[in-house]
Amino acid sequence: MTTVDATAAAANLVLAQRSRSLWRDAWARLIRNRAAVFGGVIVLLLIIAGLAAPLLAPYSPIKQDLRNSVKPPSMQHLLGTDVHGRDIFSRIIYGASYSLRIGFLGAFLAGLIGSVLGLISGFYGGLADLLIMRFMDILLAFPGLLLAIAIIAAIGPGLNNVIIAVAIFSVPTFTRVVRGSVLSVRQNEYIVAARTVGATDNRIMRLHLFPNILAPLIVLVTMRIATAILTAASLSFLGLGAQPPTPEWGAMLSDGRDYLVLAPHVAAFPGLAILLAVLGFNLLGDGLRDALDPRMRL
Amino acid sequence: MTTETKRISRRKFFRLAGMSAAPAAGAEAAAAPAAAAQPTEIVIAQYADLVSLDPQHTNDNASYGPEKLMFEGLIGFNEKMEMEAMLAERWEASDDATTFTFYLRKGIKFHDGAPFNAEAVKYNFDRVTNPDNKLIRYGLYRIIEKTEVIDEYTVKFTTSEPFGAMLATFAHPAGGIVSPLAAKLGEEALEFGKAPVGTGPYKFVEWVPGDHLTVEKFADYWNPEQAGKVDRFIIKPVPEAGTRISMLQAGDAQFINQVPYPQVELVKGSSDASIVENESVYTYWVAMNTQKEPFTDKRVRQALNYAIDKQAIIDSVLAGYGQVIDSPLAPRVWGYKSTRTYEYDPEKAKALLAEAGVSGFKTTLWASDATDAKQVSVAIQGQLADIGVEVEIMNMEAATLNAERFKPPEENQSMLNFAGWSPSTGDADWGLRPLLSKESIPPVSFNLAFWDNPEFDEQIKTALGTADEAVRLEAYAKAQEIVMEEAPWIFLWRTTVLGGISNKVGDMWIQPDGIGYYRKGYYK
Repeated sequence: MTTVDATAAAANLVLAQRSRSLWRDAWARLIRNRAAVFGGVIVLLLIIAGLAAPLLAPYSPIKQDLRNSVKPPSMQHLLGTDVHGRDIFSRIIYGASYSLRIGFLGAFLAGLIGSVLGLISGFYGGLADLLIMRFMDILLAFPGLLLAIAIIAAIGPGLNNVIIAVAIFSVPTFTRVVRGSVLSVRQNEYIVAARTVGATDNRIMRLHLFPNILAPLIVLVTMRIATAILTAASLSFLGLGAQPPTPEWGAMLSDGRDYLVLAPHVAAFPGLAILLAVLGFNLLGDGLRDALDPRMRL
Repeated sequence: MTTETKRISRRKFFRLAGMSAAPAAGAEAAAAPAAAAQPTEIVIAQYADLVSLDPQHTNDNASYGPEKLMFEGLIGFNEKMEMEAMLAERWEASDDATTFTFYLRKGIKFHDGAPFNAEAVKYNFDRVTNPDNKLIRYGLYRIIEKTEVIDEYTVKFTTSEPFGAMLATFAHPAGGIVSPLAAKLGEEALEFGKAPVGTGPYKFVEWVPGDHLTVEKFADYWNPEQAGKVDRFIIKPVPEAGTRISMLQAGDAQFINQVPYPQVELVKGSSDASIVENESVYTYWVAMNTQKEPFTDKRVRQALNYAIDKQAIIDSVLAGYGQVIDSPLAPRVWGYKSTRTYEYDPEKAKALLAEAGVSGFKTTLWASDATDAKQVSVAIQGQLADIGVEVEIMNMEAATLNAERFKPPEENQSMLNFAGWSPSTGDADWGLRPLLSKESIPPVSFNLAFWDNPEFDEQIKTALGTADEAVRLEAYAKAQEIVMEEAPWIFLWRTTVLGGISNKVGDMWIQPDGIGYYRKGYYK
């Protein structure tokens, strides 16, 4: 028994040393990438806006002032007001917290489920692999947004349900990526070594496989946050996501649709917010991929 | 732009030259395109597709507008929704409002050449009142027990019970008279609604559902004064408001049915088109479920009325195109009486709630998922929050909403319901009875307040039991007073219906009940 523990500890030590330098290299590569830094700054600003909304927003996001309906940007209202006279700037700041929550929770939930399924599928192969991957193929056969709409239709509209819908339709992507990575890592000598010393399947998956597929997973989560934000905005635009008076960007965009020509600011600023958020996470995700996965670099 | 100018000048040229626009197909085909006499045509882009072309089997305004080019009833409405004689010259009603005799105009022909006479009228009402025919408008006319031919041009209706609103019911667009000849043929083929025949100034040419309906001028129209002034009308469904406006501005449509409030300025800003406004008979309100706590208490219902700043919502969401209502009926409905309003007074609202022993509560508001319904819901939600009433909004797609609304009282989850109504008979009866009488509680009809007020029902009964206008007016006045005082609804506003019209054409409107009125359209 002692031998086994000693071997595992040694393996862990080696892993820790190796990974520390890997992460340090990756960080160095990341901050050299201007686009990624730009993306990171946007994401950071969004997070600050989302967390500190009550401090940053000059007005309540839901307080109406019908006498000041659809006013253009001014000193009182930096980005103007919507049809109910609400301050668009304040609503966008508050909206950041909703979009981030959906993005992070949706992507993490999908990442969690997808990783577990991918690990099982890739590690065991055989019938489990067949069943899981065919089911993922079924999910992938539906266009993402359509699948999300179908899920919402089944479980009802609302922000929490949007998170579930977004997570479900992201699961197959995670499962595939994780399974692929597991298949390539599974044959490595250190896995064979761990098995030889009698490590359990569970232990191998948790301690040897998972840390080694973390890099592509981080990249995918970052990219998927962008997709999740966009999908949630689309669902809210269609009236299936955030319910009034929630200041969600997609819902705000939908509210502004009728004023597009005469008062473009009502739709333009929430649209811009969605664009920036998605751009930020995508740039950051791209940068992370380049930094973490040397093979991807051309 | 240049082609546009060319086309107009050509049209103008032919008009100045006194060339008739009568069909000269052969000549047209032979002549060079530039010299061909262009038939005058008006294109109408409307918000929805037609569903039917059989007036007795129609219940949507998008179909009634085009139908009214082809069909006429015994009585009709003008563009202000005032009753006018159409196929009947004059009529008499018995004092007890059970028999109605119509004297028909002579010498009128249907588009298929069949003569219009008492037999034709009898055929029509026998057709719609026969439940086996399963026509949608059976419900509107089933009160007619029998239709008798007195002589060739006299016809007498007998109703199963007194029905004071019968004349207005004949003026409803469902009363359009169809050709017995065509309808009998169509009965077998079930096709009448797709190739209709009436007596109107325009006759059917073709209908491609989802794309267009074409009608052309009927040469043998009976009334020279109101004969068609253009060769053809083409009606196109264009659900997207922005596209309708673009069509109007580009000259691809001469009239657009419905301009959403936020886009009115867009049409007004155009030099080629204008807005046609018409005061509507649509009234909007929020029905409160008077059979459920806390809306069982009149003070709570009145409090909610005081809590809503109607004018502010009209000025913002409706861009000013509405008026606060002082009756459940709009002024253009026969029998309307200006009664009272609930001035915006949140303090009074709070006081009333306190008096009723209610200190803030949670409730739900149902509304459709149309843009303006959503915006109104949010405005109401915001204002009720100010008096401590927390509202959850449920915007539902139309079919779902109706299914939920029409559940019987014991299953019905409705608390607050935002809705609107336009009585297409133009009569107080159809503006009150289906909405507020006990007999109309869902699933039967539209009493979304589940309001059961015997005093009110008594007035409605009195008004229906006579053809004496003075008695009816008095009863309806009392009924309106009861409604406004008891407040089963949050009374909101009536709207202005808005169409867009090219400056090259004239005399087309949207009727106060939302139905397009196109038959007088002409090129200036």
